Amino acid sequence: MKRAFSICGAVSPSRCASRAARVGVLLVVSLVAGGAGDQPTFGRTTPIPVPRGHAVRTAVLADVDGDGRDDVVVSTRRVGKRGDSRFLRVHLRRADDVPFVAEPDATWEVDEAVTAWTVGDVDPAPGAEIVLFTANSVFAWRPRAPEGQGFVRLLDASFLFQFADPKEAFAFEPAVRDVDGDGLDDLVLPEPEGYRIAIQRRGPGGSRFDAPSVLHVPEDQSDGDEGEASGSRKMRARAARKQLRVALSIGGDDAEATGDLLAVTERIPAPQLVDFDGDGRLDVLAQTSHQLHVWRQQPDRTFGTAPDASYDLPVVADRKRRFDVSYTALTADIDGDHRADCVLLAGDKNSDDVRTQVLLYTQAGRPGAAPLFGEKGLPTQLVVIAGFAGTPRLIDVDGDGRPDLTAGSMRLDALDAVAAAAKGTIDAEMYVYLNTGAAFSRTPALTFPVSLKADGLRKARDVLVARFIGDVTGDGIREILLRDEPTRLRLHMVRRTKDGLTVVPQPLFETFVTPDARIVVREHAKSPPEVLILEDTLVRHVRWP
Amino acid sequence: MLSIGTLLIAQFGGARGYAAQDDDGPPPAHAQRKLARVESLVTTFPIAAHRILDVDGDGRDDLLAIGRAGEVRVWHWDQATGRAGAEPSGVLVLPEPDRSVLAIADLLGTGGRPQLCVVSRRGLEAYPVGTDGAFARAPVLVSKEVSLSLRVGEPTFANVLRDVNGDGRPDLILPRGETCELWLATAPAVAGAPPAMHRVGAFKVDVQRDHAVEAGALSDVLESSFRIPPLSFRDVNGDGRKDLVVEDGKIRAFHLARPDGTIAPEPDVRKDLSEFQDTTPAAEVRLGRTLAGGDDQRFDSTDLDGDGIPDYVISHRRKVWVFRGSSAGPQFTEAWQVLRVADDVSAMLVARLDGDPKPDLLLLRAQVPTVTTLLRGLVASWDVEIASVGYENVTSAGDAKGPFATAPKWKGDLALRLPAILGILKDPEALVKRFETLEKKLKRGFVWGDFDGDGRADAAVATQAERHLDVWFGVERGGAAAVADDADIGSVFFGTETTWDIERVLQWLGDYADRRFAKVTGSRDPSLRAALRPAAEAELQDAGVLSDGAGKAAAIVVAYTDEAGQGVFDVWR
Repeated sequence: MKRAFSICGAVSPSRCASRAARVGVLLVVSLVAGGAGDQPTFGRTTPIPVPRGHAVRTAVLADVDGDGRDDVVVSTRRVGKRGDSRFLRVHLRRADDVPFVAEPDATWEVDEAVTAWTVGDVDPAPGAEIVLFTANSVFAWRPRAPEGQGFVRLLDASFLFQFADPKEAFAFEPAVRDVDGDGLDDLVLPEPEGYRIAIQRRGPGGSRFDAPSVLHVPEDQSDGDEGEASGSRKMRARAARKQLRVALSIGGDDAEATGDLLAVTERIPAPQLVDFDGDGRLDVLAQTSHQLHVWRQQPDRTFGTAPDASYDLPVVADRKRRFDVSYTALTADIDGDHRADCVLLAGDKNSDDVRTQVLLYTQAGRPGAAPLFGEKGLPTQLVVIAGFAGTPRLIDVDGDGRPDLTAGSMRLDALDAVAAAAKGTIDAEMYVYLNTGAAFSRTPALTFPVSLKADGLRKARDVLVARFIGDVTGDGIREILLRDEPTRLRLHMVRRTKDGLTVVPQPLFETFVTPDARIVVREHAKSPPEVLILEDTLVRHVRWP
Repeated sequence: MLSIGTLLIAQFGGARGYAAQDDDGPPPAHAQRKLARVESLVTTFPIAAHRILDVDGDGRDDLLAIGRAGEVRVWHWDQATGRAGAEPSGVLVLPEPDRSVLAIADLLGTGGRPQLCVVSRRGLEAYPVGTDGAFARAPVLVSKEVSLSLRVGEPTFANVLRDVNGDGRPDLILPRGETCELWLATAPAVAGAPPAMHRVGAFKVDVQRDHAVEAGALSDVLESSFRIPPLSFRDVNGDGRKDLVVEDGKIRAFHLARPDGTIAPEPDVRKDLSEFQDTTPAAEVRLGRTLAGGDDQRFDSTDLDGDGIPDYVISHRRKVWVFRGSSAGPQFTEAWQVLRVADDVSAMLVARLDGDPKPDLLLLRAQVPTVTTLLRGLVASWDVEIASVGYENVTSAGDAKGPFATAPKWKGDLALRLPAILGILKDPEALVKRFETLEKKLKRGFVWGDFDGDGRADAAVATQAERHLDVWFGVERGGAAAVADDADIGSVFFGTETTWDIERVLQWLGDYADRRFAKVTGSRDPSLRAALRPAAEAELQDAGVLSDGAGKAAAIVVAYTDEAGQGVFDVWR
């Protein structure tokens, strides 16, 4: 219990009352319920094993049965003598202390044509459905439907991910979204030339997704000799995802003849659904190498084929920039005017030291004919982060309702590298720049050192090192989930101080994970977040009551 | 009448041409001759592919241009004027352009003009040549059973129609995802009908796929890619017929071609490489190092004894098995030779290591730094250590002892020195550009023809980097191939240089490319040189030769795409 008091004691007294009671009670409950002795066991973990011969590929937390609580859908792979099989296993949440049991409530051997899936309420039946994507169609699997009525065709589309992987049907959650704000899930499908947005219309006969809007992303100007031409589908050198493959062919004159029978690459910018113009409707933004394109949602819930507006990017996202490990562009309403703003992170090419520029562009800061970026592309705010910055996110850390900027940074000079080699760790820092209403704080409100253990990094499949997840303690401030060692997952409380924010050193929760485990975080608007730990033969569900 | 084509020609300068002897080139040896751009043809649509071939069967080559939206057009050259008309022939528009895989073959067995063959969801169709000398609008449906379910984005040529069983009819290799289906064409039951397509089976191929699904940032890119290798055909029993060789993970399967041209769906020989296990424990590696390449079996196949039949070499850890192929096909039951080596094998290559033509055995043991050790490599260069041993091929006809000497003839140690990781992260573009420059050098491909009519082979190259069209008269065709790809491998692993940094690797590869090039050109300056369009104006695709049908190269066609994606073809004489 000493540990419990130390956690409570770390909380600001002025904000402690109900929160302290909640944390204290939860700790007691947790320890009585069979926690690991003296270890902090704030969270509750429920194992969901998969059958022998199956391997966990991915999992999603979503409310499938419509009871208001998230269930777990697990995608597995089974290796058999006749090849691989893929399965989706639905585990509904129980109301008791053990929310999930090993036996699934529904199982389906995934058809070989299915490339991806997610969960969405796309049918009038109670609860949600499993939405299945094939190269040409979207289907819904209704796990509780009577025999023979389990599958419903929703839409024809040219889904970007056409090639099914026999080892895995991957989860693609961005494809389901309430686009028109009517409370029903709609479909946002990436296609080779753009996006297909189908609004759900629910009537007595069921749900319909007819007359979708087809958005066409304009081809950008070529990167010229420095990169591949936009629109080219077959490339030998690719830089779009900070990844490069250079194929050098050495051989006779017929070397090409011995190459691939067929090679296809299709790519499209990830669409962002935000309210660009402040009219209360979600619009679609997409960034190509040189431009930001905007499709405005019309009052009749449709979108045009061509963008309604296109703006030249202030930092061209050409191949050279995409090699920049710090380069990221994010969009959200930063200044509270209900219009989307833009945050760019880019390495400072003019500096001898490694450093990253954070450029904030707000629509309020650049009114007129060229909103957001202005005529000259000058930012509303410039913040400099030393080192290579990465994994930026725009999330409300301090609970004031405004998105703050979080980012990690790694600074390495010769001395750092020698020290790193001696210790076997790489030192990095996590920063939180609080939203001040019109911009971000000039200096970070929180600087949190993270020491990454190098040994075992090679086996780690997950990139999660440190991430702010939803409020667990009830103080309105997000906590930080940390995996600085491949086999340790910890949750630390973040609390407010008079100077900003601080991370309580003693973890609220800690557990061992296998080195190759992957972490899935599910955020909730009004309740604490939940986490799935995906290991080879087991999914572990972690919740903080 | 001034046509759109004429306007476009005018826009690009038409027949103005770039004369030879531009300022940026050396003076050509054949000063009395000049290359002149006599014509520029521009498609009125974004282009997907082009081919130079005799479409209309008059013996002279034509230019086939395929648009991204499925347009199929043909330019013919007038024998009298030597020019193509501004307007191409043809009205065909492929109905499913983003799902069409194309091939040119005489699928209908007419013995004459080949057809434009298309595999799509509609089936396998052949578009014969119409009276206008272009491909007709109406196809002949060869098989509805054969359909392509993949989206390829735009009409795409692929080597899907080839005669695999030597009966003179093009057979079909159909990509199906994880497998390729083999369909053999047989004579039609009724004369004049399309051939009958018989499905042999679906055979696993090692498909590479990748997808990027992160979508949370404006800068994220969703991407889906796949690469499907072709089925592999080679004669594994010396009967002159190509057999089907399937690689499925660690499985090797051999389907022998029968005298009647059929290929059995079930393999005649099948071997799981994981059965080859060296039970000795893995060897120790130096502290701070780990063995590259894991603990897998290695497999290579080539003719070791000169009988024209491939033999097989398999290694695992410190053991190497050699199996002799025969007229009965591959066999993996009776080892021809078993070698025990001192170190674990992390890579294996059967290649020429000395001057004689017989392939030798090269075994490599690569040790890479552990992650912890690699941290030092953040700011300093770091080494991959490669120990190599070479076993000489000493086989002679009927040799029963095995092809390789029992003791290594060559031993070497080298370090591949890689630059500091932080240095790469600061400016990855610099390193990438150097590899791309090398790639362009390696890709310099010759086009061949008798340009001056002297009966000897001439060669031309359109160089990407320098934007030149160079022509050499009187060259040794096939000279590049004479630079054996593996001839220098021995000097790399067993030479005097023991440290190879990126500079040296790039230099070596660049020298290799230059040697291949020089083997053809004799290190001479080009006989003719002309400047190509600047990169800012159009992107260079390739060069091809137009044949006049009498054995003489009538012209060189240099293909580009312009900013609008249209095809631009400059004709040089």
